[in-house]
Amino acid sequence: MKKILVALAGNPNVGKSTLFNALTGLRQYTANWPGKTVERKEGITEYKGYEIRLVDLPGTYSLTAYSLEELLARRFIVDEKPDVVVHVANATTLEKDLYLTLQLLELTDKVVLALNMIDVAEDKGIRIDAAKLSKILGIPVVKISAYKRRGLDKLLDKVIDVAEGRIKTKPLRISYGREVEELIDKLSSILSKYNLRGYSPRWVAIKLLEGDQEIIDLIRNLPEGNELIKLLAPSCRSYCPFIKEGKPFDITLCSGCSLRRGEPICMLIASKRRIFIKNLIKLTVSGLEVKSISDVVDRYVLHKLIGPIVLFGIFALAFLFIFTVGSMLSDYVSIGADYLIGIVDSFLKGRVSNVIHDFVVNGVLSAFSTVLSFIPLIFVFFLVYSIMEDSGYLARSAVIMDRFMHALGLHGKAFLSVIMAFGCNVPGIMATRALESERDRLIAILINPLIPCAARLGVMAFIVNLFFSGPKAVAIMLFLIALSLTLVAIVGSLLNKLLKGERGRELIIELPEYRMPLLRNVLLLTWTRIRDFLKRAGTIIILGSILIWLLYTLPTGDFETSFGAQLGKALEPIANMMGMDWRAITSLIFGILAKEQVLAAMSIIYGSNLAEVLRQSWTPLQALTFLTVFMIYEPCIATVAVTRRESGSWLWMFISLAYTILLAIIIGTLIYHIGSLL
Amino acid sequence: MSVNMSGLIPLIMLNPGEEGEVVYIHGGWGILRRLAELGIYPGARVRMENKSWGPVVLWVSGVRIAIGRGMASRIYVRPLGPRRTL
Repeated sequence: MKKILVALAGNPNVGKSTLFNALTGLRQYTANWPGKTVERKEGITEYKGYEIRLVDLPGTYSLTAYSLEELLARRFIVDEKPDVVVHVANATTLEKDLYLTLQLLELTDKVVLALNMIDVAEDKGIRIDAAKLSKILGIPVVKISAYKRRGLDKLLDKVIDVAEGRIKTKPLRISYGREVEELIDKLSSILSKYNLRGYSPRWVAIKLLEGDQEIIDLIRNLPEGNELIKLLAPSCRSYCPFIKEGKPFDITLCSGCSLRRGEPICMLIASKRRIFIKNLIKLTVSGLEVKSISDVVDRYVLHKLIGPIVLFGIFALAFLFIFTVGSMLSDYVSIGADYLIGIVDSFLKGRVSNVIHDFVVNGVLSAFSTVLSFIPLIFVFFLVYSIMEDSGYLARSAVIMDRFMHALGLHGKAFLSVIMAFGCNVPGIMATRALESERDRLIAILINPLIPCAARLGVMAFIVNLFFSGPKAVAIMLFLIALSLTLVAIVGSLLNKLLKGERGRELIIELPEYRMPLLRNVLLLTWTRIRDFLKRAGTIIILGSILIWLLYTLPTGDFETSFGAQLGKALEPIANMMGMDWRAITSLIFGILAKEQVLAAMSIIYGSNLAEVLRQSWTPLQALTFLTVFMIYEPCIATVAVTRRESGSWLWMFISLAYTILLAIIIGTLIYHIGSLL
Repeated sequence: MSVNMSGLIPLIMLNPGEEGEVVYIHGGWGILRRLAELGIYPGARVRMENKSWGPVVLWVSGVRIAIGRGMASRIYVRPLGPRRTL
C-alpha cells in the first residue's frame, strides 16, 4: 500500500482536532516531540489504497519561533518533509487564519487549504468563493465540516492528487514592497551559499527581518554572519532584537529599517501580509455580519457582577456532579477490586510463603485497588473539564478570573492550571505551559500543589464523614477548600513580590464561539487525559506502594519495629506540636509517595477496621488537624517529579517540597492550638 | 515615531458597539507581532464588544479576542463610530 505523510496545521480553535479524530478514529497514538514536552499526535487512515499517516501539528497562529509549538511545527515541515501540509482554517474566521496560510506557502509548496466549519459559516450567511481563493493562492481549497463529516473524501482526494503530483501547486509569493524586497534579495544571495538547515534562502531572509530567534542564532554561526547582521541592523531601539540583546547601537549599521510610518521592518512584513489578506477577503468572501448567540451569551457570562456568579455556580454544580457520580462509581470499583483481591488472597494462602503472600496482597494488590478506586473520580473530573473546554466556556472563565489572578502576579490563563489541579496536580502543573513568561510559570508551578486534587479530596471526604455528619461535614469540607485557596492567594502574592524576572504579558486569549460539546471530542479529550494519569499511577504510585510495604515490613516483618515506624517515632515531637501521635505522622509520611496511599497505610498502621479505630482514637479536632496537614503538603511523588521537569531545576523542586511541608506543620499547629482554646 | 496622533484615542476608550481603526500600538516588538498574528495591527478595524470586567473583549475580523486593559490602553485607534447592527 502506498504511504503518504500528511501534516495538519492550523490555529487553535479551528476544529483541527475534530478533523484529526474524524479521519483517524481510534487509530491514533500520542508521543512527545523528540526531547520536548509538547504532545505529538499521530494517526493513520486508509483511503483508496493509500495509507495516510497524519501528524497533528501543535496549534499555532504563526510560524515564527515565537513559541516552542511554532518552532516544532515548522521543523516538522522542513525536516520530515510531509508529502502534503493540510492547513485547517475556520471558515468563519478566515481573515485571521489566512495569516498562517501565507506563512505555510513561504515554507512549502505542497499545501491544501481546508475550510472547516463551512456549515456554520453558511448558516451565518458567509459565502466563500473557493475557486477564486484557490486560483489566487495557487493551492487546492476544499470546503469541509469535520463536525458533520462533510467534504472529507474530497479533501483526501486533493491530498492524494497533490502528493502524487497530479495537481501542481503554484504557491503565491507575496511581495513585501520594493525596499524590503531589495533587502531580501541582498540577504538571500549571500545566504544561498550556505546550508540553512533545509530552509530556503528567501525564507531565512524574511524570518531574519522578522527577528526570528532560531534564524538569528543560525546566522550568527555563519562565517559571514557579521556582514549579514550589518545589512539589517535596524534603526529602532525598542523593536530591534539585536539591540535588545545589548549590542551597542551603531547608526552606521542601520539599514534604514524604519521605512514608513515609523514602522520597523518586522512590523512592516506583518502589515503587508495583513493588507494582502484584507484584499483577498474582499475578493473572495461575502456575507452578512450578524450578531451571533455567543455575543448575547457573553453579555451575561462576562458581566462584572453576573459573570463571577455564573462562574461560581457552574463550578459548584460541576463539583457536586463530580463527587456524587464519581464517588458512587468509585465505590463500585472498590467493591469489585476487593472481591478480586479476596480471590487472589485465598488462592495464595498456604501455597506461597507468608512474606510473599503479604507482599502480593497488602503491598501490590491493595495499592492497585486504591489507585483503581480513584480512577472513576478523576475520569468524571476530566469529563466535566473537557465538556467545559469543548463548549467554549473555559476560555471565558480565564477572562473572568483574570482580575483575581492579577493579585498573584499572574493572568487569567493561569486559572486554567488551577482548575486542572483540582483533578490532578500533574496535568495542572503541565497546564502552566500556556504562560509565556518564565517567572509566571514558576509562580503557577509553585502554588499548584496547594490545590487539593481529586484524590486528596476523596480521602478528605472519607475522613470528614467519619467524624462529622450532615451540614457540618459539608461545612468542614468547604472550610478546608477555602483554606487551601487562601493559602494559594497568600503564597502566590508573596512569590509575586519575591520573584524577580520579567513579568508576563497581559492576557490575550481568543474566545471561540459557544457550541454544543461533541461527545466524540469530549470522550477523546478525556481519554488522553486519563491515560496520562494511568501511566503515572501505573508506574510511580505502584512502585511507591511497594516501597511503603518495604518500609513497614523491614527489617523484622513486625510493624512496631519497622523502619517506617521508627521514622514516625523519631518525628513524634513534630506530631505532638500538632496534637498527633507517631502513628498519624507515619501515615502522613507514606502520603509523600501518593496521597491516595494514606488510607491504605492507615489501615496497616491502625488495623483493618479503620473507621472504628479512628473514631475511637481521634477527637474531631485531631481529625481536622490531620486533614489540614494532609491537604497542604506536597501531593505525591509524581507532582514532585513534574515540578522538577517543568521548572527545570532541582532547587525549585526542593523548595516546592520543603515549603509545603513546612506550611502544613505551621497551619496544623495553629489549627490544633486555636481549636483547643475554643 | 512619526505618527500623527491627533484624533486618536486609546482603544479602551471605545464604548461597546463602537468601532475604530488601529493606527499605532505602543509596545515591545514581541507583543506587536503577537497582536498582528491575531489580526490587531495598524490598519485593522476593531469593534469593542465588552469591557465591563477585567480584560476587554474585541471583535476583529470575525474573531473574538480578550486582551488585558493595560494592553488595550496602549493601542491607539481612530474612532469610526458605532456599527450598524443588523
